[in-house]
Amino acid sequence: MTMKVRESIPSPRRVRRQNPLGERGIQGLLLACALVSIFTTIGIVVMLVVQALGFFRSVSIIEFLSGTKWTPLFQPQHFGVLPLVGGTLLTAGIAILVALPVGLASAIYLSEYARDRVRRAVKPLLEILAGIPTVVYGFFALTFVTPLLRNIFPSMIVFNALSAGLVMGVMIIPMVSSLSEDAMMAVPRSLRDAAYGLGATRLEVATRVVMPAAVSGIVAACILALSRAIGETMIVAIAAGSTPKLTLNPLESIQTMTSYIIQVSLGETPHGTVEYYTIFAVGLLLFVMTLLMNLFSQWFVRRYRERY
Amino acid sequence: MKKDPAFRQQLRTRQLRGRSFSVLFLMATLTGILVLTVLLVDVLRDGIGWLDWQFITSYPSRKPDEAGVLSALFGTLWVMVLTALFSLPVGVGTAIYLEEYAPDNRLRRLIQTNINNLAGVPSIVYGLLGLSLFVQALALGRSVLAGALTMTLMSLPVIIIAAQEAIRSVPQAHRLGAYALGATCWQVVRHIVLPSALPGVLTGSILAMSRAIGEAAPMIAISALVYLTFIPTSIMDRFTVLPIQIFNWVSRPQAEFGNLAAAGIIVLLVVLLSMNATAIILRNRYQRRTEE
Amino acid sequence: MADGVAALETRNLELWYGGFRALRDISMAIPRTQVTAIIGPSGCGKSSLLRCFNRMNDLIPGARVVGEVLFDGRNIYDAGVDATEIRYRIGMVFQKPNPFPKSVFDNVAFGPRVNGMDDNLEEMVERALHRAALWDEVKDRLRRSATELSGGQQQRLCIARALALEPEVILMDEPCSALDPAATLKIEDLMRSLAGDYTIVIVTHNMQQAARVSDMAAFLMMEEDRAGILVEYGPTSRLFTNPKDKRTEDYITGRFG
Repeated sequence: MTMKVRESIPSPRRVRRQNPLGERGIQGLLLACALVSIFTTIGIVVMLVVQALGFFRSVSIIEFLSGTKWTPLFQPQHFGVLPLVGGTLLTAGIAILVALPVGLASAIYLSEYARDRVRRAVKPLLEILAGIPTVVYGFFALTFVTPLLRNIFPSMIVFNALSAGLVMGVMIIPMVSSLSEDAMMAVPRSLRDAAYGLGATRLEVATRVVMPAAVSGIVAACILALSRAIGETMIVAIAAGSTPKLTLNPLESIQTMTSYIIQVSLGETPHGTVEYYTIFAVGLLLFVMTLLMNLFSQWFVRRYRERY
Repeated sequence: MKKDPAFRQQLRTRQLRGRSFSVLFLMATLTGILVLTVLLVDVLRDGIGWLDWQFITSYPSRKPDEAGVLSALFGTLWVMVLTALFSLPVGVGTAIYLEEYAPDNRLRRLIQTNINNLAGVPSIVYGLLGLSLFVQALALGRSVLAGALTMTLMSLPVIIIAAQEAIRSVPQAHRLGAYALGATCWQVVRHIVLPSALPGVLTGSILAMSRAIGEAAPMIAISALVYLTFIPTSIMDRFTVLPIQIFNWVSRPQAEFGNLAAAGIIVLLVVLLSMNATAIILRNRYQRRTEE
Repeated sequence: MADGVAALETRNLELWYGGFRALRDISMAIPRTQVTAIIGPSGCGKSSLLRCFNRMNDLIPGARVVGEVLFDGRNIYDAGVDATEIRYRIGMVFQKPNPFPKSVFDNVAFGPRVNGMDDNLEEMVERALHRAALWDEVKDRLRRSATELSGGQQQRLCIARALALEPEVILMDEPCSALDPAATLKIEDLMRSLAGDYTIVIVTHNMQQAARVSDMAAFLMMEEDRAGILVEYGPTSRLFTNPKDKRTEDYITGRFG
């Protein structure tokens, strides 16, 4: 008898009783909504692969991935993507050099030092920073940061990797900061107490206990931020130039994968030509790179999740 | 050993190091806010003089004095409304399915992982998807509809994640109470979960959409750079949006266009700000109600 | 104290959390190299009192101490006294074992390292682990994570971690409340073996435990304004057999709490 009563208590998921047609119809509808996201992924992959195949019919994948010249829009055409990858990594690298120390330091401040009231005042401001459209950051890089930097480096070209990278770094600070802060806040208080009880200063508690204990979340935050910087488009399209070039000199004009796609989208490149298909080959590469980084960061969190 | 003067000396050094770093950490926290201030001042200084009624009510023009954002502003509003119409039901539906219906099986985990990954796909890739799927394969052309559908796909993952959080915050006891009275799953969702999760869902969705509205990259892939002197009147019309118009002006060498860009940015920020304000008001009203 | 030498002494101690007074008028002298137990019903401020002794309450926003805690001839709340130094000289063991997610070795070495005593680290760690009766169980897994140890082992590791700094006093905040009886027994044996070398103050809600391990016992209770007061303080044997205060008698005979 008691057993029966227990069985009849519905588990919250999975109750299907009464009016089966309506219930089932609604459930089907909701499932259909959920499947939209699956189809989006399939759509992205199929679209990129199919269109990129149009490109790889004319250009070998080896030439694409190992060539060091990228001039698809004029003669003689070269289809080596490395200059675009190089430009992308250069700007993203500069961005991470800015965002990593600043974002981490601000996460430490917010999680270990700041009073509640300060935290409540600062966090919405950082959210605003994260919500500024990228085209605005691009404008800021080109019309404010570049002239400023040209006072310091007179040889700097108007469109350059440095301004774009720096501003992109500012853009991803909130991401590094808030994800790292979440990871640090998740470190139990008891560990902090233990360290304070052993005569550690606040700084020592933060750097020797809290940060090591939150390391998986912090690393994941940095990878996600890097992936975001690699996929960022408008800042580089506006401020970094459109000269595909393999260089480590941040004062020069470069082109990233994303800004190349924008450049082609702006022109009226005829549909069906190899020039048109280049953007899908580049887009596919971009998608694979960012996807791998996102998957890696998820795997990293799972693999190195701390058990306190 | 306990009164070791060397220890005292060393402790002073440690405390000094701690204090210096705390100043450094505070400065790092203020960096972002400082840049935000400089950015806003820079934009206002460049653009406020150009922002007038004429600017709002004029079409783009080759002559900076006569140029305005009318078509871009309306394009943005069109895309915004359509995106909301498409993405809200689908996003909330997905969140309800994942939180209330889906058994904890591989399909659910697949959908969840997939959504997390979609949230990290660069916006320009959504632009490419929209270009080949909506503009070309479905032959919608470079229309408002194609733009809104692209925006929908792009903002969906963020909306779903926000809606899931709101739904998860509804206490389990409320659900169990309703189930105990013999309610079906949908009745519980309809009468218990949605009413209390709705403000949170709306707040999250509006914030997600305001992010999407500011994105220029995918819209450039869809719409290209157009010079439009009309307001879209149907969903199949060509369109432009504020971020594209701003990008267009930024890319021109003449200083006046830089000012136009700044004025355009002010308009864009006002649009986004009012969306955010709506979200915050919703959140506050909701919080007040739960406190009663 | 009979010999007049107290390890710690409080005078008219009050603890405030914002506008709420958690402790009132606590005056007690804790004798050197003995075990002093603080007992009382839950919520009476036992742990709060313990945390006054090494200024752990400093970490709680709004917490404020009035009165004096004398340690080594100084009031530890005087301006110019560094809380870090106090915590370096007074060790603490917490309710739930809280090893760092690091290796066994790094856990014990943490205190010496941050306090700049890095020479002979191996030797210090080994000595502390021996002292905490843990060495034989962990000597082959010093580099493995401390979170793999059992609960009782983790708590002894936390004691070893505190011992590595050679503290003068060890504060223990219900150190056995998360442990099974066998592990509890080991910790109690350890406490007895440490007394004589160290001053130990233990908070416990377990009367039998207080009777088993402590030389002195303090009974705290909550007043009507919810502030904790010291009802009675004296040698454990006397407090448990012949309490002077009716409230102490009621409590130890199990009439409330």
